[in-house]
Amino acid sequence: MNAIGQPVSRADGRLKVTGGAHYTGDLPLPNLTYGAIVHSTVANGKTASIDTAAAEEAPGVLAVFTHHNMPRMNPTPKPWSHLRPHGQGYLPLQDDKIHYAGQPVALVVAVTLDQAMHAGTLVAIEYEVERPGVFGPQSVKQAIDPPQFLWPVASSVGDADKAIAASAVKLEQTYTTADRHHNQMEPHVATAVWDAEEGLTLYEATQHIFGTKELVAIVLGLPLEKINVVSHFLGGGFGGKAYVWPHTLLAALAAKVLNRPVRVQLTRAQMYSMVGHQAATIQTIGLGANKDGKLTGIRHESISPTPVFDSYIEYAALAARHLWGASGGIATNHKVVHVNRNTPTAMRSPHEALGHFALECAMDELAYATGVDPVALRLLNDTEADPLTGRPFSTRAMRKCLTEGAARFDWDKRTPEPRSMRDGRYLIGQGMAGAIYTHWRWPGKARVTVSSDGSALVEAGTHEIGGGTYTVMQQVAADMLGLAPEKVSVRLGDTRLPASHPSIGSATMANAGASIMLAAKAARDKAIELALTGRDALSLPVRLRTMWSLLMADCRCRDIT
Amino acid sequence: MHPFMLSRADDAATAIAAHAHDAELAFIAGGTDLIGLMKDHAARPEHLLDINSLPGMAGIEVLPDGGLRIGSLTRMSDVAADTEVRRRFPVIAESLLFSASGQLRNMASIGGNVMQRTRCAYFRDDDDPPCNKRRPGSGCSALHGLNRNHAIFGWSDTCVATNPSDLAVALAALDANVVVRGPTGERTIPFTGFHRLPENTPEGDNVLDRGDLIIAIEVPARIEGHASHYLQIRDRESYEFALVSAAAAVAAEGGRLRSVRLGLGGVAHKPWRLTAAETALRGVSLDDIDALKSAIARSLAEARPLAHNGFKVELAQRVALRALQTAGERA
Repeated sequence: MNAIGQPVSRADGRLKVTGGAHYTGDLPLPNLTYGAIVHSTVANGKTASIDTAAAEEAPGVLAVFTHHNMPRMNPTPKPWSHLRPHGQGYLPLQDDKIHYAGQPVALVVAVTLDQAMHAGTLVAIEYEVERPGVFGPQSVKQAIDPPQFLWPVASSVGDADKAIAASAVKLEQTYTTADRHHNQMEPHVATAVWDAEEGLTLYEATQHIFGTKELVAIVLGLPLEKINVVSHFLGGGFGGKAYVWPHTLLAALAAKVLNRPVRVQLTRAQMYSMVGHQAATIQTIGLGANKDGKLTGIRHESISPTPVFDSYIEYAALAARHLWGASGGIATNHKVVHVNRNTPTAMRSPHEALGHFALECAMDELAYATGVDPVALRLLNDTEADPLTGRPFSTRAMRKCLTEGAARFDWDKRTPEPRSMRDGRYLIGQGMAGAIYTHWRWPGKARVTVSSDGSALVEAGTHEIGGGTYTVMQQVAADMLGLAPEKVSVRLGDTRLPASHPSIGSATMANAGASIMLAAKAARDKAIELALTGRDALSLPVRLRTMWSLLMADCRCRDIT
Repeated sequence: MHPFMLSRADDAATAIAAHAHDAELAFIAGGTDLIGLMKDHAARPEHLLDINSLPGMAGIEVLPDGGLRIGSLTRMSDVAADTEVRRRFPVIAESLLFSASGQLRNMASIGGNVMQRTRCAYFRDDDDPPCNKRRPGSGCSALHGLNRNHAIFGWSDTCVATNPSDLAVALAALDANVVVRGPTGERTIPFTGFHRLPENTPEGDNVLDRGDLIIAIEVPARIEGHASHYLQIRDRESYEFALVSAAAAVAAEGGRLRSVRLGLGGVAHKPWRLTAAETALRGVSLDDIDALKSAIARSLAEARPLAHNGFKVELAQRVALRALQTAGERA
């Protein structure tokens, strides 16, 4: 009766397909009002005038906020941290500056969403326009060295340039990637509710309730005990909902001024501007190798745009720090160009995916330059130790992946010459690339309660981002407790629950899941002890049943470990 | 969205009179295009007249000559699934299945499909950039802007937009007819003359006047109908408009083409028939790829690509060829 690995139905499946699962934008709340953000149609400059008279008189309108009447906010904390993560450092409706097209310039709050959106179209704005900074091929010349953000900006082992220069085979290639937008099925949405005693409750489409709580508390100047963040269901995150974006702060302050709940949901068009995206990159890869394809040097440089007010780095060149070994040295570097766009953010898979694309395209070029089979080339350059630090990898299955993949794909039947393979009328081609991904570890708390009726409750401040967290956590706890999965209830997505980590980096199961597993194990041990010794607390049948199921679970877990 | 009044029409005559007399009134059937236009403020009707209850305008019937009459209120999904449509004119069913999504096809009407407006991003932009379709006289942002998705045939300096309907390409290739009822009675418009080129008045997509209501689409029997195919090439594999599409219908004998109907989508303000190619293809062997290619190329010589869509010329050549070959396999 192991629940893990079984094809169980989603614990929340029925709720979701019957409309019973309340996503943040669907949550019914008494006295709710709706905000519509009016955004800038120019990319750089300032607002010369904002005429809100017609909007204020439109049916249902409760208030129109601009930088003239929006309450002031505290600056975002520095340095940037996952623990109190702002999406963009420039705060909305605090001054007349325009830094990017699509920037919020007004917020209309009305009784219905339609009224708010219509009134938003009646706000008349005059701009003083300046020429915007943009990203493109010309940006290479404007690129500057950014301050450190998440990881070191540059790295080097050995002397890559010297090694490449002395190589029998050398190549240099430039690769570009375009902006990518998360475009979750559920748009970004925040609903703010103030209560005289409890303070602010923020129903937020977020992958990071505790980070949202910390950041909003700082920017709004609230004590931490006066704010709670709730995210029961998320219609997709992909990294884009891990940090706090302007609409959340606007909803919170508007609700405070109006003393009514306010919901602000972005339009699909606004999903391209005032929330994060993955920035474009221009990447240059230099490779040096022996005639047999053995790498002697790797140089990986990446340039990406960042806003005029922030210094975000898309760490594409991380790829070369860990992917392949090179005998003479590896050098990586990142540069940025300040442009009139909003701050980029993590998007699956942040950093690595873009860098792997470039590095592996260059490796493909090297395979052709040396005449070495692309799979054999990777096997030749596989590394047991991390090239950057020399330390062993926690897990690395590259060699097995390559050989197994090649076998399953009939790779040995491939002919490498372009246009040499056909399937009927169609030309076909086969290619391959290697990739690795960083494993994240974060602390996470969980609480598991076992009841005498044979049910259990799991509580953890992690998130259901669409991947099935309610179900997998139920499976984990059920196996640890020796209970059927349906006997286990799971509560997630509320900062009043034990604190967990952001649901980002494909890390929820490994971290929040581990904390729930350990909490369930501890609860089981306590229950066994109580069943053995707690004559007064529990009836005999309950004690026997508890003992039996928990001992069976214990045996199974020993098998697993 | 601009506030509007919604009412329902129970008979065609009243609906036609209302539309003729009220310039701010728009018919609504499935609404899958109109509502999007209203949200983007590319349409601002004061009054919507729901025509879904009008009698006798939904359904498909086989005509005595073996052709089809498709009521304008028939849903796209019903036409795509219809046995007679699939048997007699596979190109129609296939063009519909390349369009939109399952949910949209369940709502969208055939009349609305041929009335849908361009997907030009400047025209749809709620931030209201210059666009002669949106605001006549304001200019064309696409002419010297991002025009990768735009026309290579028949455009003017006032507008380089393309017609987005896949079905329209199939109907143009088959020389279908649009049955229209207006204030002065009923008339039939040949499909190839239904949509128009932008010239100096790009705000008009077609030749309909105020008060005109599409009653049905009639597709006469065609010897090429059965051996027909629709192919759409797009940036992603579903729920996307065409970069270039082709409708091909052929009659062949002994592996040689007797007659060909060939149209392109995604390349002009209207479905684009390749008449020069159709003539040149007569008598050509379906196995002679070079001859097929050079015949198609005759119609592409007049292409005038813009700064970002030069690839469409070569793509059109290939899409037309593959559609023709696939249709030929059915002959």
